[in-house]
Amino acid sequence: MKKRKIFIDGIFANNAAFMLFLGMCPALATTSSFMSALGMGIAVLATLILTNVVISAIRRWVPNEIRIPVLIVIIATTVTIIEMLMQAYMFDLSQTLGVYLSLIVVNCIILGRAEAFAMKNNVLDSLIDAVGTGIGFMLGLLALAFAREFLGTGGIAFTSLLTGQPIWGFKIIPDNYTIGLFQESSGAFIMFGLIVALINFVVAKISENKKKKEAAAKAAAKLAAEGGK
Amino acid sequence: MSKKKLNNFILLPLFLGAVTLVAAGALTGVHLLTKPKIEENIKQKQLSGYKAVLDLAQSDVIDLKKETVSDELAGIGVTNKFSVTIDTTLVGVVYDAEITGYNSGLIFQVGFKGTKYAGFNVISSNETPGYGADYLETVHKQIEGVEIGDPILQDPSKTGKTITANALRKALEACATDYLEGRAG
Repeated sequence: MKKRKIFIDGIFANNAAFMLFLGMCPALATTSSFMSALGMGIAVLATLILTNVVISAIRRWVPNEIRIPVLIVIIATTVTIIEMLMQAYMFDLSQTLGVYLSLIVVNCIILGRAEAFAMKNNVLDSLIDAVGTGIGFMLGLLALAFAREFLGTGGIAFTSLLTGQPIWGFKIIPDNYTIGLFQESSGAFIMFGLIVALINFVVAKISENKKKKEAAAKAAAKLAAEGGK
Repeated sequence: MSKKKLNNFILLPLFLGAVTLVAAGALTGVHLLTKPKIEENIKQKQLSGYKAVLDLAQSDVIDLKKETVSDELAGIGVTNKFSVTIDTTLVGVVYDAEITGYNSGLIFQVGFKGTKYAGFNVISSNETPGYGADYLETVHKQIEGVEIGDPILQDPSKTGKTITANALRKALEACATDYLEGRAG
């Protein structure tokens, strides 16, 4: 498989959040603010990269009978290491993400990519797959978080991931016109549904246009053939 | 014993054991590397929290005098009790505690001034974001200025918050009783 296709598929065609509906728990729970979604996205990306690379590197020596326990040990170790590093160097963010940071261990995306891709491909391809899938998931979280925070609070507040101090922010919608529902769990489901509907609409339109173009090309080719006779 | 059986009974557990051993080594290394920094972060947050729960400015220079924590309070999860002074004037008393709400590991501070609750601050928690964690953010406003002995944290009125609220109420009331006894003593 071409490396470019592996990377692009992870972001768009096989987007973990909006196409495969994997990792829904953190996608809904940590997206009430843009910065916490970014933090969760980075944590998942780092976990994917480390686990995919390690698993791909040792895949030849892992006996098939115990591959799942081995994968779980590697994933749990990686997540715990990332959690400790975040508590040391991104303390406020680690507190904001709370239990969802530890729960990356059971995120379907990590085990899914390890089992479906890293166990069958070389280290470089596994790294590219991890980066593509991780970026795709992060973009999904950021899109959801942007919409929720913007509509729920009227703007976006950017803070430092390292210190938690405010960096910059903007507020466009006055307080009286914000929709607080989008900051709640139920609002997360509604916004997620709206984004999936929008993506499906765009994908359907693209597919329809492609079919029309193919049909037009076939008709043109047929006409040209008949004209030739 | 056939080669396959030998493989299943000895080699597979050995392989898994080796992987676990390497993982444990990596975890130990990172733990040793990050432990001082994590402890420093928690200490900084605690110091900043003591000022916050007593409504002091972050620029105030405070002195902490460690008080003895009774066995009864220690049993509830109280880990520290400090008298806070500025230039030898007592400004309040703060308690550190670690209790189990809906999840374990809820570390918080509560402060008392005069005969009232002065404030509440969460150091770290594993409460569910959107439920227990959101509830914890409201606790400071709910108890600030409330006379000790008056009811606190009544009816969170939302599923998923009751267990956290009940555990917290029990711990806060125990601290308040201890504080009043200390004042009387």
